Amino acid sequence: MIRLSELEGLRVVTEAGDKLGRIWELQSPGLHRQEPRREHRPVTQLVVGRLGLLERLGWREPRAVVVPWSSILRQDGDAFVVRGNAADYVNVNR
Amino acid sequence: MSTRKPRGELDIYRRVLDHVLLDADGLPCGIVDEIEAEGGLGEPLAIVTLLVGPAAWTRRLPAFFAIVAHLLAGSRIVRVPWSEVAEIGEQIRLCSSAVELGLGVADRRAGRWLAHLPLSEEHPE
Amino acid sequence: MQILEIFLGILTAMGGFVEVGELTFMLNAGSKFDYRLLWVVALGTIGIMVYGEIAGRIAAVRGQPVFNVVRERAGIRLGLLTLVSATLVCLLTCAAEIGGIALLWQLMSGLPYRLLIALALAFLLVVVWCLPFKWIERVFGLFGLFMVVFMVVVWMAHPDWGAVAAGFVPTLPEGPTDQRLLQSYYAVALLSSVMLPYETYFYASGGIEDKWKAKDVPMNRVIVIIGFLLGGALAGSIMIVGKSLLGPLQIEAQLPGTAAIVVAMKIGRVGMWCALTGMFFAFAGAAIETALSCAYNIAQFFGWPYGKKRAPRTASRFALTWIAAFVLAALIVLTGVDPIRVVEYSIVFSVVILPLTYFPLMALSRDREVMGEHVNGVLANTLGWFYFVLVCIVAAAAIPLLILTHGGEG
Repeated sequence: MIRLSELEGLRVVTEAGDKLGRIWELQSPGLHRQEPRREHRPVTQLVVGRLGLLERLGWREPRAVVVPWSSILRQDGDAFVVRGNAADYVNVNR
Repeated sequence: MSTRKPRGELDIYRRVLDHVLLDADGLPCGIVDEIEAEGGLGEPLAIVTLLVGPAAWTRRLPAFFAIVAHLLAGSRIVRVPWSEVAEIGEQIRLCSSAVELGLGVADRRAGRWLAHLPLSEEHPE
Repeated sequence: MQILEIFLGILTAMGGFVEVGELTFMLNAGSKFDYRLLWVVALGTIGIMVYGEIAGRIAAVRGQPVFNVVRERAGIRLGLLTLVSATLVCLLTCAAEIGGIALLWQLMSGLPYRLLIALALAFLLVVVWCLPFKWIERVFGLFGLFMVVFMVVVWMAHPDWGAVAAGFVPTLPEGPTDQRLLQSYYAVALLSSVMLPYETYFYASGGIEDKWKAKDVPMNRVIVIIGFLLGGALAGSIMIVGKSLLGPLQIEAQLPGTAAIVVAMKIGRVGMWCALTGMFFAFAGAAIETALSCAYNIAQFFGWPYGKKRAPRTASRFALTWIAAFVLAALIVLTGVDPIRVVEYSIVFSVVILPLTYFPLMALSRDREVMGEHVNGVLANTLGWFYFVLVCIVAAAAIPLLILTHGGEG
């Protein structure tokens, strides 16, 4: 079991060595209002940026990127290593 | 700095973590102090439980403060299955009552003590 | 019906504006610095209007009071720091108010001070336990309007209105270094006393208790603007009284009773009793608001059922918390510590924690995703950020000034 608050703030770097930033949000597909009951809710992507607490407070960084959970290769200390390089990851505002 | 347009994704930290829980009767019955997910690296990740109680939020504090908070607030934890979530809005509405889920125990215990005082059952309005 | 609601809301906001710290600092600021700090009162009044409106709007639109917002937006670590700081400041302020009530009763009765603290505690516990929320708000707010007697004293004192008007123009402190430091300290204290954080907490929680909805946003705006404006005018009139009547005699108001005697000098016995009545209800109202704020903040932060509109048995931890707040506050003054000294510390530490409270409010109120059409407009954003920066600067200066001026002794 993973406690999701423990992921907040972890660094994300690509296997090519690019620093993408820190995890400031986790996202699950589907809307949040009046959803039908489900047994569980998948978490499919991370939002990674550099603004830190400001992200949580409500500011959005234009250069934040979305990293699919499936692209995480491994964890090295307080950093997740993900596939590819920075150009492979989509800007969150697209 | 931009404001993200609302799309078909739920932001877990902004919309779920640290949000108030309302039971089926609309009674506040805690805050989402932690979220537990099944899965891990290389596997799909899915939220299965909301954790409510001091044992959940004290772990999120730095070590010294976690110990002090644990001593003051106790070690109770309630596991609310994700299947109990009916709606996610400003608060998170649950399908069952607080009693059925084991939430609000401290309030009910304190309420039994207060019941000895006059006017404790009176609805002031 | 809504017009009556707005009218009563305005009067309640005005009557509940002044508390023991504000009274003491306003009188002494007038006595020491003439009208030179009136601009600070005006500045602070606009500031509390801005953040009161924001907090009330969030409560109406999202049904969320301040500490729900703090927990959501700031998270557990920063949120808990804010909660602990706010609770300590509210407790100190409550202690000061209870001490102020006891001092007033001692002036009237001559009974021992510590006995009167215990009686004040009993009175407050019974009132809050038995009276509905609306009654508490209205009774203490409306009877606090007896403080309007200070405005009558101003009118009768015929101050130099040109000099009063000049006091609204910001000026830098003058004179030797120690005088400049002291004036700066008073400026910080006055700003803080007008913008005490519990006012925001209680106002928003009151909106939740009254089940405000988005349609109540205009009413919130009217109450805050007119009510706090009139409250600020009342606070300013106390400073003018300090200048006009205490300044020439070089009296420093160390006790709230001095304010009543000052009124008696102009209006006689009737005026004195009006002042004492107004002060009693103002101090008691502030004690109730601060104790309830402690309970609201903690309950909202941890998701407990809360509210005076619930029977105590159904919001039991909330009820026990405000009871504990009153008892702890009374114990603080029972130690024999000078309540005016408690006032000073509560006011200085209040401004230190203001940035922690205001930042999450600004963060939420400017978020269109969350607030929809009720998001901050240009004016709210501009003024909100201006005041946030201002309170950060003032917060940084507050404790150094407290130390350098030996707690305002000079």
